[in-house]
Amino acid sequence: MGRRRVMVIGLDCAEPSLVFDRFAAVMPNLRRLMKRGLWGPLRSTIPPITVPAWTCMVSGSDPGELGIYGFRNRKGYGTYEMDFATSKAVRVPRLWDILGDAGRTSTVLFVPQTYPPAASLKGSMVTCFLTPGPESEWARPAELKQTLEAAFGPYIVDVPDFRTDDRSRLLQSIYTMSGQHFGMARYMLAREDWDFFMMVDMGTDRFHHGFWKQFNPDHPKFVPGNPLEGAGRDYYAYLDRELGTLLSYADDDTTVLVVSDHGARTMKGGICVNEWLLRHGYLALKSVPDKPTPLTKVEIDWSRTKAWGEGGYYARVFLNVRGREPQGLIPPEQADTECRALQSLLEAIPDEQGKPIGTVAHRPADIYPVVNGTPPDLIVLFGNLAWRSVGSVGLGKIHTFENDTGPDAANHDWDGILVAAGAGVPAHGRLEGSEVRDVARTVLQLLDVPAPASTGGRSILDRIAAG
Amino acid sequence: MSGYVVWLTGDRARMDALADALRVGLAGTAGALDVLTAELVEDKLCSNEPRGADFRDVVVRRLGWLGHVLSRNGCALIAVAASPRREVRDDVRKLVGNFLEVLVHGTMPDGYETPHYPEVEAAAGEAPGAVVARVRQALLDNGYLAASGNVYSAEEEARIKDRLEKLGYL
Repeated sequence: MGRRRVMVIGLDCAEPSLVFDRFAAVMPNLRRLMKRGLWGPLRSTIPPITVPAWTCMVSGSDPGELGIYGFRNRKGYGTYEMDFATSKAVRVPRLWDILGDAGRTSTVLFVPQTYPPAASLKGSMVTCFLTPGPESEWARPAELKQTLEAAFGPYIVDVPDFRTDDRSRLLQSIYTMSGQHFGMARYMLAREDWDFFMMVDMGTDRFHHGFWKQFNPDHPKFVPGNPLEGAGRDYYAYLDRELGTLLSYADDDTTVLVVSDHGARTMKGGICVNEWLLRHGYLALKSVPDKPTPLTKVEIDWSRTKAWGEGGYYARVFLNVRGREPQGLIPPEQADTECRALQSLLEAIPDEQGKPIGTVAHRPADIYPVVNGTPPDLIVLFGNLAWRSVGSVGLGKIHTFENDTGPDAANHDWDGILVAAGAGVPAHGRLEGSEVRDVARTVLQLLDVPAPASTGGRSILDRIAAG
Repeated sequence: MSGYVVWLTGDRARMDALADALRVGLAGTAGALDVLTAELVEDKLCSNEPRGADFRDVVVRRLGWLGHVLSRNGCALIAVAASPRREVRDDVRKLVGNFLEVLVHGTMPDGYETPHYPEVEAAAGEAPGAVVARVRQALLDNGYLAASGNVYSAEEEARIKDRLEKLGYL
């Protein structure tokens, strides 16, 4: 046996029903992997969102342990301000940290929450879409930036001008970005000496959010025969071709994992969480705008505010508690009661026709064994992800069918994908019950590196062995 | 006013000049500010300790404990210690809370374990003044000083926020 290596190819938002079923016919490279190894759904985190899901995958931690509940987190209870969850917010070792300590070399490309890059990395890194721009320091070692720029031009950090009605330009931009990133991956695979390789393509996520209604007949606005009806099949076929080129760098001693951090589903609309809080007396503004306005752009009357919310693919709701928040209102002894009451009310919000939508509102302490950082008081999944959270105020309604930041027809879904094949992986077929946190322990087991005691999850190899 | 610890780790020979620059550059940012070295702690607080294999760790931990006491009382400490073991430094980080690690590149002690995510790095040969500016910014970024900030400049922060909003994440 030669030198064992692991290659992880991440496709942000790749949806199991598309990969394993609807578009399977145009993904021969992935099908071959599935036949050789194992495949199945990969349960995401709560919340199922890029940050923190990828970091949970590469650390084995859950969001509570990380103290990271989304892209932006409160700086502390002493302020209402939010801060971005960059790599410096991650205080647990990730795979490349653990492997580096064990003397193994990693090549890490575009993995979310890697900007700014780690100082102690043993190997090489290109940082993620949280990099400000191509002028930033996005590579380790630093000279790698110049090398890659010479070969590929300026780093395309993300799809420019994502909210556009020019669909053909957007589609081209997604292909251009993914093409550059897969090209960089091949370049690095050919030149680097790696034990662990990982890349994450964000194009899949951008494609879903940009084109879901064009290629999914279950979307209310799907138009049969529209010019982009075949765009989904074409895009997944493209992904498979890129995958095929990467697999040529995987020898018999390499294990390949193809994973996604969450899936995608049709989004029916948005619940204007702050409009709802406003109407129900939880939120007070100095003046209510007459057009959609982000909450950060209006003046909140904290002396009369009991709760406020954040928009996104899910809602985070914060209580304004006396002695905890700078201008807290709710007496601390009533905070628990208020929280439970609000939880019930939010879960009962119906659709625009008054029908139940099945919203779930979690209290962090109920779902995470450890709750670090400054968590929201409630994590709200409207319609179990069929509806997004709209944070703006001034819409004059609770339900909206236009996103406050532009059109978007897809929301995230609970399951991503897991495909594993190659050295150390039996031809098991479909595997149920895996979750994103399992990936960290699986990779460490495959590379025969002990997992730190703090690493959560369970190796998928152990899952198989246990039957 | 909250306190903090700026912990210099790495090339011991470069630290005294950097600590002096930090003492000047960070004056007034805490109730009081002082510099303590591992050698001083060894001399004053560890002179009766056996010189065993873990002696250096004992010194580093005591320096860390002093930082903990000072910072919780609103004072700032510039800690000067090669402190080669990451685990010990991380223990001090947990103890202190308001802890900022400065990796001083250069000639590292034998067996030196590089921190995974030091808040600041001082490149080999870099002038102390530039490092002081980054330390000050990092103290702001981490909320250890009154004003706050983060990894990004204001312009970068606006750009990232706009990007995430357009992508639907916010």
